[in-house]
Amino acid sequence: MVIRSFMVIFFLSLFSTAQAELVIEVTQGKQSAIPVAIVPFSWNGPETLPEDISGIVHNDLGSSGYFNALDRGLMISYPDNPDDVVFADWRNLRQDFVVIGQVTVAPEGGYAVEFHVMDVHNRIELLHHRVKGQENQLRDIAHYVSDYVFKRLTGIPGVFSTKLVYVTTNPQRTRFNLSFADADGAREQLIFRSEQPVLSPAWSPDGRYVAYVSFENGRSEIFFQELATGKRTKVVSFDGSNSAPAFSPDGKKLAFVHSTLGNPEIYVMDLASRSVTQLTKHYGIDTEPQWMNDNRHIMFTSSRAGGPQIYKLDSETGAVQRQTFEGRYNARPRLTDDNSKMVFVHGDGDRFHIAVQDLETRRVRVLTSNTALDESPSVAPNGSMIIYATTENDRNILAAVSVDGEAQFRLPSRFGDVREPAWSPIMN
Amino acid sequence: MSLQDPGSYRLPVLFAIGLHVLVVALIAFEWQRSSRNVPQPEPPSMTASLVPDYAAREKARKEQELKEKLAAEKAAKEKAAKEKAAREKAAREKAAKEQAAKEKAANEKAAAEKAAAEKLAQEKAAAEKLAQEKAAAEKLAKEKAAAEKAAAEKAAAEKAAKEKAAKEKAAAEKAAREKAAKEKAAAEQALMQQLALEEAEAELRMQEEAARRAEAEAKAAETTAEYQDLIRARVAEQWSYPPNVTRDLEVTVRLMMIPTGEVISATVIKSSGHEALDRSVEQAIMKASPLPVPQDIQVFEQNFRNLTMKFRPENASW
Repeated sequence: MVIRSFMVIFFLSLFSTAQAELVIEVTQGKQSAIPVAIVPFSWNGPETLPEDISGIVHNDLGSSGYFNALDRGLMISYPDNPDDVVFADWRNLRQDFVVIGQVTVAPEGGYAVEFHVMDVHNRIELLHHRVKGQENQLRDIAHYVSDYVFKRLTGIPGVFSTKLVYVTTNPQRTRFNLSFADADGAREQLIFRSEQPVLSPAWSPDGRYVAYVSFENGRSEIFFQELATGKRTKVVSFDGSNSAPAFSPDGKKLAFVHSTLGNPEIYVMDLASRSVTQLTKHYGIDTEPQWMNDNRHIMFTSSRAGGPQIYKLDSETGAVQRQTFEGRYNARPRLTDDNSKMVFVHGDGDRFHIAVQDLETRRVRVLTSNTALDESPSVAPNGSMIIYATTENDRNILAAVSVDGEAQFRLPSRFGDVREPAWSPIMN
Repeated sequence: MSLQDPGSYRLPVLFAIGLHVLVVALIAFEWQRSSRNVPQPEPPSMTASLVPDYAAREKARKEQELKEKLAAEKAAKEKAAKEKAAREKAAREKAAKEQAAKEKAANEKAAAEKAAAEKLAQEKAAAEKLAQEKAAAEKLAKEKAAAEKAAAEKAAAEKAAKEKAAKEKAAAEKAAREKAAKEKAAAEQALMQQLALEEAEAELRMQEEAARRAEAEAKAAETTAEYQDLIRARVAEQWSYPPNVTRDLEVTVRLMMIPTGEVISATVIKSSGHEALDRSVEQAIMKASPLPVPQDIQVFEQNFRNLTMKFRPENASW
């Protein structure tokens, strides 16, 4: 009897241990750039293509901060169709994904690009897609491919087809150009040229207009300019100075700063009726408004506590709440599209860096370390990158940094100084 | 033509044939032998081991012993009975023979006496004639009766003796039977005691076995925990997840491994809803393959061949 009950207990315990299956929990990983190889796309045409499509994709992904693009010289082979991809080779090269493609002449004219993304570790084709365009659209095709791949591999939209607007000047400060270009700095186009300063460009939410401040009439006024037609409209021209235009996310309102007798205050204009309301009334400086995506609250810089700090303003009640407490200089707030983070200029003695604050945890992180006099940050519409102006060898240049601070790079500029960059929304 | 004739091929030919035959014979002989020596492919090293059921075997063995002992006893009893029967039969035959001899002797004596009496009567008749014939006849009758009586008495005595012997024999047999029964009962009791003792021993062994098993299980648990940590560390090292994830996301993956630690499959059984995060987890596992797994095949089978892993990007900061 004893033995039998013993056996029963033993077998029961066997059973129960067999059922309680082991579960291993992993809670720590690396939030790091994904290694990806963009194999040169094949092209069988007689002459070389005007644009190196896969090269553009390589630069796009590699400069995004989300990817580490493998140097072409390290590749073992250049497959152009999925059957030729030797996964073991790419695994040995420590790549997670391989992008391959073919460029062909489309039967109806122009070019067709077919591309595939291969998952090296699961040994499968993750996606394939085909896109067509004319010769002058090859760059757009390349950025489209980048966006497509980026979206699928990170889960967020790419911003390689977006534009940047910025102001360039000559060293003598006698010529000011407002220009826009591809997000990678290519295909620059002039919007407006003046012999007087041009400042604070801002995109309308639909990407059709740029608002900016021009001193062309001897004092600062706010103009709108339609990019497609070049048509300009003077929108804000009160006595004194008018500056820092900012569109509300719904495109219905424009916040701006108006100053008489040296006391800047924040105002809002209803764009349909052109009616204006004053939002702040304080003896300190209130400037640099930026809308939150509820179309109601505004982040702005104020010196009401002495040094510049960032405050949040309720445009309906006028209530103001301080946001930044670390450091003696925090200014020029910009928000990510989801309003989870705020990017601003953070002063530390005589150095100025771009910093990011998590609006939920209030934790502040300084992102830039190898530049010193950073200003005018602007956040990419997917919240992944920040473009800003900085100084290098006594020249103003544009630089970009990923929101985690991992990827930092400088944008090429044709001449003179570049300042006041503004990243466009995603345009379809 | 002679063998020595240099122009003749006979000698070389004979020599060649002889050599061929020899070689063929040798080859045939060796071949036969070597053909048996072709090494047989050894079966793959696979050992099946049965866990012996000591208690059951022990019990069976005891039952068998008991059976054998009982059988031996029965055989001995039967043999004893047979021998006794043979002895009794011999005794009976001897008694019958003796009695027959005695009777014969009595008869012969009676006959001699009768003959003497007859002779006397004849002589008396010669003297006493017919008058004495009657007396002689009476005397004869008397003597005969006496003889008959003696015979009857003797037979009765013999019969009594026989009965007494039978009675004694029955008593002896009964005593023997009782004694055997008593002995048998004693033996059975001894056997039962031994059985109980052995059962107790078996139980003790079981307990020891259980203790050993518990120890082995504790060791297995330790090994499991150790390799759990190793696997976690190795996969975490390979896990780079996309930037735009939040800390509360969780991916559950089911792995299948072979004893080398190679991952045969990694399937997301509960998605985080974030495709890129799910994929990063699958990739991390495949990148980390082969995973460190215990050498102990039993521990591997129980805990590692099928494994569930959960991933949460708790250190996400973007």
